[in-house]
Amino acid sequence: MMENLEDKIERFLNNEMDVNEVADFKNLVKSDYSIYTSVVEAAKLNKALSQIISGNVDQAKIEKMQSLEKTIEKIASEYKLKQTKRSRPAVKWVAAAALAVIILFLGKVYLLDGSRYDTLYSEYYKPVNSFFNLEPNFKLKDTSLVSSFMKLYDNQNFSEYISKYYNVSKGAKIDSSDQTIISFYAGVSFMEKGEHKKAVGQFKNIKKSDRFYNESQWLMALSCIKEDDIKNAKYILETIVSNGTDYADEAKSILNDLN
Amino acid sequence: MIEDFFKRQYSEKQILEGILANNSRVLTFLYDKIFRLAKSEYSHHANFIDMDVIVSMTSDTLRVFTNKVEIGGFVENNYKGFCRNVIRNLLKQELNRKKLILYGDDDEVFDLEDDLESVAAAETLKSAQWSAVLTAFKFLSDDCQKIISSTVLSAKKEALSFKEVGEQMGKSEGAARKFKHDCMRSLKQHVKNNNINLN
Repeated sequence: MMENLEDKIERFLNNEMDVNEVADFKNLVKSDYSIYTSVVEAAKLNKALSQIISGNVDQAKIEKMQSLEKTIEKIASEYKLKQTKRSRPAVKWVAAAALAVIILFLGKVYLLDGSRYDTLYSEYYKPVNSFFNLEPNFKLKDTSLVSSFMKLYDNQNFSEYISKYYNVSKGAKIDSSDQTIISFYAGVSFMEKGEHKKAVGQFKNIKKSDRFYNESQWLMALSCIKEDDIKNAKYILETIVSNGTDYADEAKSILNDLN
Repeated sequence: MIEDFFKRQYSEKQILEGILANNSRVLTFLYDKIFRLAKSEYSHHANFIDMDVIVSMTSDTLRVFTNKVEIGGFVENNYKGFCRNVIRNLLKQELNRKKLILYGDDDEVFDLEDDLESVAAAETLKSAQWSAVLTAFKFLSDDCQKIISSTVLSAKKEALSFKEVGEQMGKSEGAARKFKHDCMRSLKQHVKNNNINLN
């Protein structure tokens, strides 16, 4: 009796074939892509069964996997959008070049620069780490004002962060080191909300002697780029380079891109 | 300094806890790390960068890793090494499939066993596929579940031979083999009836 394909696949996967049978079977697989996919499918099924039989995978775990998958899908679609935005000028360079000629001709250079600066901003801007992660021990002071702000920041509630910031600023006196941290993250929250002018205003308040001064300067330069304020962006970046701070290399690189 | 400040850094312990808690910040951090690994690995094998493939490979790798953590099978303490291996296996599958379509008859180019090893190592099943297999398995009769459990190699035990299983079930070796094949066919049919493809 002719052995059917499923049985052959099973015997191959269970190492029950002799050398000649294996060679014949491989030739069969290579001759037909649909057979190859059936073999892969059977291999995956065996692997899944082995995990189920071991008790490593049950309904509860599958539900958790499903919820993780949803989160990953969401992150992936956001990431893809970000990558598309970055690569758009490269993909459409011919159209962009043609557009540039027209815009130059019309004397509206800023339109093209605007999209170029957006791309530059996306390339250099990285989300700022939470203060909790910079100083994990700080989380112990759970009742502090900074902690209450950081919880909002950690949960990406940037709007709430800002409204709380405005309310607190109007009220009682705040310890100056706490004030610096809260102000700095208010600036970052403005950036996350796309309100870059307000972010610049916030970073300007961070003094040279304050914590996060270097970071504020860097973020202020990026916010200026996003606002197409290239003159001020260049000035800040040149200062960063001449001061030789941790952001000097990045500043040099972005200055090259701007020039 | 810049690295610490601008990229959220997590210890391996925080990453594993973050996965179990479905923490989107940790997962975003991981996604970014894996994307860079995937881009770097892909650029070694391809003449041009296909962002769609890299994004999809990144999602698959992160899913494989998080599933592995969820199942409790991640025992290494080098998640980057693990993810790099998954990416390489996925890449290998992608390239092998292209080769198979283009040069199917060439033994030098395509090695089926090697390819299946990479399939098994990547463990790319999605939750819907896991669910379909689990449901189909539970749908089978007790005897079917027993013979499959006995003959499929699992992490906790060696697989028995058909002769041994046959003796336990009061069947001949040939009858035990046929019975298992019938059970597997029924299981696959049940998976298919749920419109689930394991590929």
